[in-house]
Amino acid sequence: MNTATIPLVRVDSLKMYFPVSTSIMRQAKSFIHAVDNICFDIPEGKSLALVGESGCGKTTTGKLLSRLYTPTAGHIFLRDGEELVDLVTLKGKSLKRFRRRVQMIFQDPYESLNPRLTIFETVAEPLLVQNIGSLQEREERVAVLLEKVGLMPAGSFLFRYPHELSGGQRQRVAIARALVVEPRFIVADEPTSMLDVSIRTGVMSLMMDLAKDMGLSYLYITHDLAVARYTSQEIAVMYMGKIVERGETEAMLSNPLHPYTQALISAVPIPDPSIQRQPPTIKGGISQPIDPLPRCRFYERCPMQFGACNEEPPIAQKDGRQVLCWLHA
Amino acid sequence: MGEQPLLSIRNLTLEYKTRKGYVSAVSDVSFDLMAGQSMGLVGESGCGKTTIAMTLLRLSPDNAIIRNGQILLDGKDLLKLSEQEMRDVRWARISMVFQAAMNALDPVYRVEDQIIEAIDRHQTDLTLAHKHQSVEELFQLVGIDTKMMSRYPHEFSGGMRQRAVIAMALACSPSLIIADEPTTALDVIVQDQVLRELARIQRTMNMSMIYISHDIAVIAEVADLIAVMYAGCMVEKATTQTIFQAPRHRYTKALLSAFPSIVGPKTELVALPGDPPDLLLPPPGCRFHPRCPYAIEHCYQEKPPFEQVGYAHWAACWNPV
Repeated sequence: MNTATIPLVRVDSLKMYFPVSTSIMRQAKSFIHAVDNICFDIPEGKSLALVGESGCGKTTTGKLLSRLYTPTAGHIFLRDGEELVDLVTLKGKSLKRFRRRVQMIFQDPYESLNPRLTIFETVAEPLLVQNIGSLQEREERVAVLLEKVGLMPAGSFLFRYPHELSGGQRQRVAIARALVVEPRFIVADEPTSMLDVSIRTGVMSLMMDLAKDMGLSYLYITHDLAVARYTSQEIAVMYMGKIVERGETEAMLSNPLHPYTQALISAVPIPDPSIQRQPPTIKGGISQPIDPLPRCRFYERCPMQFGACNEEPPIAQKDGRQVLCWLHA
Repeated sequence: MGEQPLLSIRNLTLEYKTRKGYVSAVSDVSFDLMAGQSMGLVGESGCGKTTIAMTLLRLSPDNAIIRNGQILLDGKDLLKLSEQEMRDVRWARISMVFQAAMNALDPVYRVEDQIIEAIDRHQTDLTLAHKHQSVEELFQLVGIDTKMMSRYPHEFSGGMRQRAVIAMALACSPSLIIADEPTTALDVIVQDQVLRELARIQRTMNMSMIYISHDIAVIAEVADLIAVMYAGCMVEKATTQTIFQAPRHRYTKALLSAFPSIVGPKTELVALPGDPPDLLLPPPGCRFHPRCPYAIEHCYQEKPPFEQVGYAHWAACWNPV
């Protein structure tokens, strides 16, 4: 394999089933198929946005990729030089070493920062865990990073506590903490959805600038397609544990192929009163994938459903797009 | 015109008393709303949108102190009414759709009974069969299966709960409905359905509506007028078209250029520097001046008046676009 074609991250047939137990004494008989056989690659330096409605499995995917969950089945490969290392098989020391290369940013900066630690202690903690540098080196590294995420002058922030900072500043601290061990890949789970519009844009462009400067890749989890458009080169749409469509961002937004992607895109309100939007035609809401039937997950709600849809659809390739739909098979 | 507005807020100024001092939550806000109009109140968290809504219903917390102003509903000042008189206004004249539908419904009562409770307060002479029938009509109006009437809130999905809360707000046919972030907790497809339902009902029943949201795209789709708030002040008010095509206030302009969209060319988003001010110590002059790239000396010195700058267009800016 040519070096240029080795992806940074490769997810192969990844599955995560959660047992649904009706009683604590009984063994679970049914399972929620939270993530069901998903595959994707993220090339070095590129970002993938994972979009979908609540409960579609996007956060579970994020937690699997950062190994906060151990998958039921499948592989997660991370590039290490010329090779791909399967994270699922890692344990103990090698798992800890891997955490230097994959970090997470969470949604709520009010919850994800320890209120009893100063900003310096918060950002330096991963260095302490990984045993990197002397105290002085850590201090320097944290100071440089704080300036990089726009908390200037760093000296005035180092010894403050999270409650003294605004939401936007806290999220910048969380970003600095993720970056301090110099990861290659960051799982960002709705990093801007708690922030106000005027603050959100600043944090979004900071993340994009950092990606460019440091060659980072993100798995950017969001429910907001407009945010996905501005943060990622590719979009993957999830529905009930499956990736139903994946492809280049602008191409997908202008020409969605899967009926679910079409509905999702047509439901997004447009901040321009001169444009009239065609509302989506699908009915009903999303349900939980508890022991789903072996057919298309979108079967009940799909306006274009036909005979073949009663069977599990194959992944169809079309114009550089992967679509999980019989219409395109 | 000569037509009298349904709702007219005059110079409303409100502070919250806290341990650290007085928080200037709403500062000298005035606006009119005609019968049948829908207005969007946009702004970031803490800008005073919800405070205005709560004050309209006289449901402000105990530490709220109204320093000045009038809230005129059909010419009558709501701030002068006794609590008893106010109860006749609430729900019958003004009702509210709350943000978190799960918290707005009582989990231990059937949804039907909760709606009947609201009807009972205002129409005491109805028989049970009549009330049952009105709930049935309300459910049909908001698009929920009438079989769900005798169910409990936890048996409803998020979108259905929000519809039930809307049904409850409609129960006494009010002339004004305030919807405080009605779809923020919902996914886009359900949000789209609920917004359409609300807009349709508002038009068919010719009610006035105040939508409160931080999401300017949602407001753009449902409101005839938009009022933009920043740090307790109303900074601009105009028709939806005007706000989007020819905003005058620098904050409105900044808000619009920071908002991402999935249609049209991918324009560069412009971030606003800094954070909203601490309202314990609001900045002097225009409250937006510390973050405004176009601030001139006058902006530091004097608060800009909320002036008419065009047809049905008001703005408070010393150095407008």
